[in-house]
Amino acid sequence: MNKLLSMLLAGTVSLFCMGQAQAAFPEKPLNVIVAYAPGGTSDISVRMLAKKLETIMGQPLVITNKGGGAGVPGFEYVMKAKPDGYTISAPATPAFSASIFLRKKAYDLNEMSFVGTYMINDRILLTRTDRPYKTWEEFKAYIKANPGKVSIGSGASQEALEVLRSVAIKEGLDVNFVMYKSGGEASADLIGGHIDACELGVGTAGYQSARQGKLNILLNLGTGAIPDFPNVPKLHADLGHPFYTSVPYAFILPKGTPEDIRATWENAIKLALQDPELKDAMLKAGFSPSFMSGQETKTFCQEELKIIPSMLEFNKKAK
Amino acid sequence: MHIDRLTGLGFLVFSALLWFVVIPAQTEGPDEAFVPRLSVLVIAIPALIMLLRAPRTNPAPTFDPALFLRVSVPIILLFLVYLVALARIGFFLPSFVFILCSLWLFGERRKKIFLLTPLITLGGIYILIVRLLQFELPRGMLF
Amino acid sequence: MFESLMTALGMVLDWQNFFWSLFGVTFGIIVGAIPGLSDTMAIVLLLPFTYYLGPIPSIAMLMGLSKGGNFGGSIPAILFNIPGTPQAMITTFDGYPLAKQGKSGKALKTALFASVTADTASDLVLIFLAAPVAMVALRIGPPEYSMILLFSLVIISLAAGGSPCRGLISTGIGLLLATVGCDPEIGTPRFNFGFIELADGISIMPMAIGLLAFSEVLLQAERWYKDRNNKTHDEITLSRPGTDADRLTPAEMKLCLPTIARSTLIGSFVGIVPGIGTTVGAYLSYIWSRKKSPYPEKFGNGALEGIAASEAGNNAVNGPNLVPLLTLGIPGNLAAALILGGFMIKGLVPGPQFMESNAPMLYALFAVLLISNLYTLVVGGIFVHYAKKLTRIPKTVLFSCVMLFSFIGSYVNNSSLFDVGVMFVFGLVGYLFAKLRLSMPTMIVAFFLGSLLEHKMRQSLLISRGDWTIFVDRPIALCFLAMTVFITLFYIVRLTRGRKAARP
Repeated sequence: MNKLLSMLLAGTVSLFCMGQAQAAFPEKPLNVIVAYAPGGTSDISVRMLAKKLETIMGQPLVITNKGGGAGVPGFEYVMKAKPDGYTISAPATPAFSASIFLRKKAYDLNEMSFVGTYMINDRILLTRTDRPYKTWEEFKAYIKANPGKVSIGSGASQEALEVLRSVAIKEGLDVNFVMYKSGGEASADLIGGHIDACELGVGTAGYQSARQGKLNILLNLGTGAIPDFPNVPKLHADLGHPFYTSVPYAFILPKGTPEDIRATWENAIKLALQDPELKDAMLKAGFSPSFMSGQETKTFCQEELKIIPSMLEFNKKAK
Repeated sequence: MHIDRLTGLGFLVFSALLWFVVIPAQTEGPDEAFVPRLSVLVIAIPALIMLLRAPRTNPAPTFDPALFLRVSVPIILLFLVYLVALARIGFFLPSFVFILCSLWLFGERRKKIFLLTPLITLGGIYILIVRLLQFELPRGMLF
Repeated sequence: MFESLMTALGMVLDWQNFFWSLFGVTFGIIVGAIPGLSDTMAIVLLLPFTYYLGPIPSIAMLMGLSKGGNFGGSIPAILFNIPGTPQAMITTFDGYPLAKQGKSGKALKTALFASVTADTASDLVLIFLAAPVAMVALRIGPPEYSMILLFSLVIISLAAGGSPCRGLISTGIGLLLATVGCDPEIGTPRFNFGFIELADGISIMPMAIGLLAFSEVLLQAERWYKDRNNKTHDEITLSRPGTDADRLTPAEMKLCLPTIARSTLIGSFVGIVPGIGTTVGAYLSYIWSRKKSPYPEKFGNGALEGIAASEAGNNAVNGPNLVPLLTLGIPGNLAAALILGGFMIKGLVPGPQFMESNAPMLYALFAVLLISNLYTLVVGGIFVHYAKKLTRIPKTVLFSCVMLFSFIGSYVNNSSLFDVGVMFVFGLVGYLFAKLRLSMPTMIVAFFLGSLLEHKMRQSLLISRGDWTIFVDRPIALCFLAMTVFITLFYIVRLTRGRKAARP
């Protein structure tokens, strides 16, 4: 009898404790691992969001930069961490395509727990305003009139460069593609007139120049809306090109994280993005805040990961 | 054999290894391999010259095997052990042991220094980097 | 104009600016002076906190950090022959010999004087010549860039001193290491041996710490052990306060001024071309000063101008490095990238219109730069006074602590143990280099320049569709190519003549 009573007691105590533990998440500081160097778009956007997330979650967010290796090691560090919701990766998705381009095997998206997207980082094609072409159609015509003379730079996105290459192949354009190490370097050469057009991320220095009217945006290589330029044609949606690149900046937890903890995070991101002050600050910095739930993010990434191999195949065949 | 000849020979072998084994295995095409091959030539040509024509005078030897075995090898091994321990146990305990051991290896015997060095350095690191700047040093089982 | 100047004055005269600038300079000197830790690391560590400060105070702190760190690195370079930061590597050439002659005070004061003078001059370049400098910077495209890099690389590998073969081998190794990572144009992995951590190339900080601090501990420990057994102490004697060995006399100051002016010029030019970096600026200045000096044989044995050239050359890079950031919104180096982040998070967007729309803020920023320089002079002076006492730290403690700090310094940037491994491996490489009497500075500089050189050359060839005449078509590129060829020929002729003269 006594034994039964004590067992029952122990059971209730442990149940009680469990209930409390779940209700109390988070009860200590949360570690956000940014897999990139400080100062870049990914780092700044996470830090902007983090301030708001802190007030929602009620715990400080400790942001650690684990850069290098194109973001893959930092992402994998989180995926191997204890799935208790206290270690989270953001913005994690660029590692997916990076691992393909670095000849690692593609990630299985079922092996992780998607929390949600806070902004979509699209790539855009920019030119100088003093060029004879102002639109994508005019640019195409210009390339056709000057085969082999036009150079297009890439602000350090292998994926975007491959998309542009596929466009050139499909449209029969004879262009030189030049890879740069960073968006800044590429924009300097674009402004200096050493290349004719350049592909950059939304929110980079080149994009800021476009907002100030110093550069022209010809094309959106992605799927999202660019905040200040609603009329820029989208490669996939408007022009019907089969390939595109669009990177949702998302939070991802390791596989096996309890669903309610994941939902707490998801909800916090959703709430944070509803804050007009944060939204305003992000738009001002040139970012495009938009929320996608974990499930939506996963489907979105799956779609995109399917594209890359077929695009590489397509480009290879033309060679 | 003159030390210059030996150095030249060593780098020549190194270049050959790179040229015939490493470069083909670690690059995917001629474009990627161009600059590495060029750099190998920049190493191989002077190495060949060094092998063929060494100066007559012999410079003072720089390498002392006895010293290397007595001083450098223990420190290198100690640091390796320290790194492995640190990845498993965390930063502070292995660092404490590391400082004590390295002081001993460097020939320190004064008790006061054994006491003060780890306390001041690790204390400083803890207060400044971990507490004030909230930077996370490697964590492990104990910390 | 007047109105915005007044607004700017209001912005500057805030206790926060003065406080954070002072904090930045002091902290920068301390981390700079600790071998293994660097100003870049301090910026990375302190960056999260700048987000809570206003834009001007946070920039005051970041600039203070990098200015303070730049000077701080020369303290251990002079006193212990271990550069505190990579850019102080060249300062060891003459700083340590001077300290050994009992002139540590003179050496440290020369370093401080040269640092602050060149830094101020280069800030004035930034303030008054930002627009023309930006125009020059824009003219430098991939072909010009490649030729400038080639020119610097050739000068540095020829000037390595010692045997020309060893200089070339060092250069080759640096170039080879620079190809590790990914192919810069095609993006496929290259020499990463299965380590994805190497995909962005070998990280510079861990590598530099390993080569300059870790290996130096091994070398000095061996020497120290030998000396202790032979009872022949090679301790440096401190300069006594008040003596000539402890101060920089006006005559010596005057002697150093032309060197500082030249080095500022080189440093500023290096600063305009983003990515080359402070170490290259310091090395090129050193080489030019040695060339110009009436007694080049003194260089390397404790020439004051050697210290002045190195310190002025590396500090002068800083001002112009900010030009592309302020005029185009493009960061020229890591510190500038971090400052850009600090701007952006506050909703400020540097770029062409920043100068017009935020003029007061820009003036305030300039004022803050000059304040930091003043602080470097004052705080640096205090540190110089007490820094000499650092030599009283027992060697055993110094060695142990440098190894510990090497770990921290290489870990902090990416919070990665892999980077610590890189540091360790390069520590051994550095040891090997010293034993084979290869030139480590040449290798490091070749590494810095090599990856950019390959990148820019292949970019040029992609733009020109494989046509090599692109390097001759452009005037700036042609000019540098011609200088490179001329210097190489001149060097070969002198070398063969020297040989013939030596042979009876």
